[in-house]
Amino acid sequence: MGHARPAQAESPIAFRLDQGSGVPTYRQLVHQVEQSLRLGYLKEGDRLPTVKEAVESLVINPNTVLKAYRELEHRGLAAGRPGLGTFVAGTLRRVGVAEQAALRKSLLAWLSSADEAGLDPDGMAALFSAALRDFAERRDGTSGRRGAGGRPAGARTGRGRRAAGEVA
Amino acid sequence: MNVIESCGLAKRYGRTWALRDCSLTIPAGHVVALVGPNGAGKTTLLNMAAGLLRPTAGQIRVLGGERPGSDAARPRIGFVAQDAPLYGHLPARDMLRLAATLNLTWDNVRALARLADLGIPLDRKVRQLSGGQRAQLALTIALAKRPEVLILDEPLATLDPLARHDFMGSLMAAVAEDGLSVVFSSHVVSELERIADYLVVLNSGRPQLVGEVDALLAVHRILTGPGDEMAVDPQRLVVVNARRAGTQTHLLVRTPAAGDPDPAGWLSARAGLEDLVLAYLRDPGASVLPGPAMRTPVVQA
Amino acid sequence: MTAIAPPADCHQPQPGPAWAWWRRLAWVPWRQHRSALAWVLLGFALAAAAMALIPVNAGGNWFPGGFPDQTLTRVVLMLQLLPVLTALFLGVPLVAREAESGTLALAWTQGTGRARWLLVQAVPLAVLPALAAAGLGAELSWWLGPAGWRARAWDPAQLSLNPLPFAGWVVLAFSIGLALGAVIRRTVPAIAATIACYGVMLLVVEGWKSKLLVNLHLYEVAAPHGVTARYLAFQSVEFGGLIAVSVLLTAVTVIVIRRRDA
Repeated sequence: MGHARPAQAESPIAFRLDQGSGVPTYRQLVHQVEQSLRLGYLKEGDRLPTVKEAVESLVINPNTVLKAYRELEHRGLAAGRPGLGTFVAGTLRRVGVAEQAALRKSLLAWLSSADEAGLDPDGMAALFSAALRDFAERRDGTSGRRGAGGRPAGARTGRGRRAAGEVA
Repeated sequence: MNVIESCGLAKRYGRTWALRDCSLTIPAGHVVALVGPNGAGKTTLLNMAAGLLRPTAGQIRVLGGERPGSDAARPRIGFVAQDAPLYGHLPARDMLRLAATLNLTWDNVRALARLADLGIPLDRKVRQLSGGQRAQLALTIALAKRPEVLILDEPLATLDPLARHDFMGSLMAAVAEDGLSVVFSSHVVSELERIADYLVVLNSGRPQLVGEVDALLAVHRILTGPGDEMAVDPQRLVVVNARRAGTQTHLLVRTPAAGDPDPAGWLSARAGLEDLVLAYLRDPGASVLPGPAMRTPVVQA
Repeated sequence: MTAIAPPADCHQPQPGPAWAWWRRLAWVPWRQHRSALAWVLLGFALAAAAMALIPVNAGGNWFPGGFPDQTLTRVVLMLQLLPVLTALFLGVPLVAREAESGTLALAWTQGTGRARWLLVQAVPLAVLPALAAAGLGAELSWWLGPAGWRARAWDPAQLSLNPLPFAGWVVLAFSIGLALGAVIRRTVPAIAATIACYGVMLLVVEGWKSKLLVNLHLYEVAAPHGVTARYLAFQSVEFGGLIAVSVLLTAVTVIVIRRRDA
């Protein structure tokens, strides 16, 4: 805005914020970048939204975006170029259309079993979200807030009963 | 550097104490939310930091040791008082010029560019601008003097939701661009979590909760269970707030450290910032204050 | 868009002599108070016009120490209103109106300190009406004509309306308004207090002067032609005294606004 910056191509993606999800904002941003890579919206060399663009549209603290971009750099997916912005540096394994179709089919099968077991859609969503969170945090390793040995919080489905003796 | 540092700060109006024994340190490099109910002393504290009010007792320093309102401090602080006071009879152009004249450092290019981006016509009188536009103009003026810290007193109170969104987005963009520190007060807590990374809760003129948002959220959680409070070990967990509904109890607890395991028999959930603030406001005796930063030691409840 | 004085892209404190900043700041009172100043000067202009148009009763009797003529009384009263006008329209609102509208929180948190902010506005707003008053005083002498002037030269009220003292009274009135506006912080009560204070000052000073003139037996002395050293001395003392009190009041005002809460 009024400063001498080279005109840049717009970033192919724009971030969204899901406020009610309980997932920390920076993690949502990381996931959105990964998702965009997987689905082909982003390719190597594309510019990610600038911190300024992101915070202006999402109304979030700039540190959150910086944290997300640092995480992406840590995972080898992004690289910052001083004065120019942050750019996609690596790739994720792209999920092909056929693979996506197969995954969707197995998901539908799971949904049918859940339905037969007596879960309603909300119950299915809760079970799936909890398992997904578990999976993501286990996969992300010690980058969760609790640190090594801590049990991740955020569950609302009876996991508390296992808490006392369990070590992650 | 500490943006604001106070020690035993107190302010009395007649018989009422607006601030009482207020000792806190607010570090630079953060977006700081100052929250509390009406009458908690937020406006008083911010006006004192801006040099508009003098303490009744105690002391306050800004920008790492400067006296508030001094010649050294004033140019480095951009202050927007409650309701964004401006000269209503002036057109926006003259309002800018007045502010430019009263300041030694002034980034005119940026001020004009911002107003152009915001669509605020320069020849329209300030009193004819909408509330949102006035707030943006006041922010533009505060930013144009290139301060190190912005202090905003309830900047969103009179704005409609769209104006609020635009104002905050604009503010965050300025923080991203300049690395500004921001201290703003609000009595609405619900939207602060994604904006603020440092929190100060004032209650009845005293600080109650002070610290980095991430750190505070990491040591608090909401436990839900059928039991009563006795089931929670008071040595390990401080119960800040308890709510009972039928056979269920919800506790907001504080653990000594992040990552501590939860007590058996309880469902644990992450506490949001709003939950946290409300719980502490309901229990004025509880507090989380950082260690001694100034001469007066600070007691943790 | 170049109406804004500082250079574009200014990121550094401006170099240059201090007076350059004062000169730049002079735009502030012009922009903020020019219409009030215009109204006050209009008042002076109307008085000047009135005097030019209304003939003095040349054939009337002139008694030292009295008001022989209704017209003269009215003119003198009209002129006495002008310092009050200055105080109410320029002195009182300078701080009081900004306090009431909340804009002190804006004005006093910029790079310019409170003292400089006050003085850069107060000086022109006091001096310009003072100059107008001096002009009116000169016009009054002309209006009275040599006979009238001679007959009333040592009347305390008449003494005050000579150019020098009259300017002094305008400055004093302004300073009283400024000080009370800064202390009381609300326009209407400050106006009332200013009128009261100025009225008291007027009565007290006029009382002193009358006693002094009686003691010096000046009433009985036939006024000489034109202006003498002694007459000028009296005017200068009155002027000096009024200005000294005004400066003192203004200094107190600056101290008060610097110490007090906004």
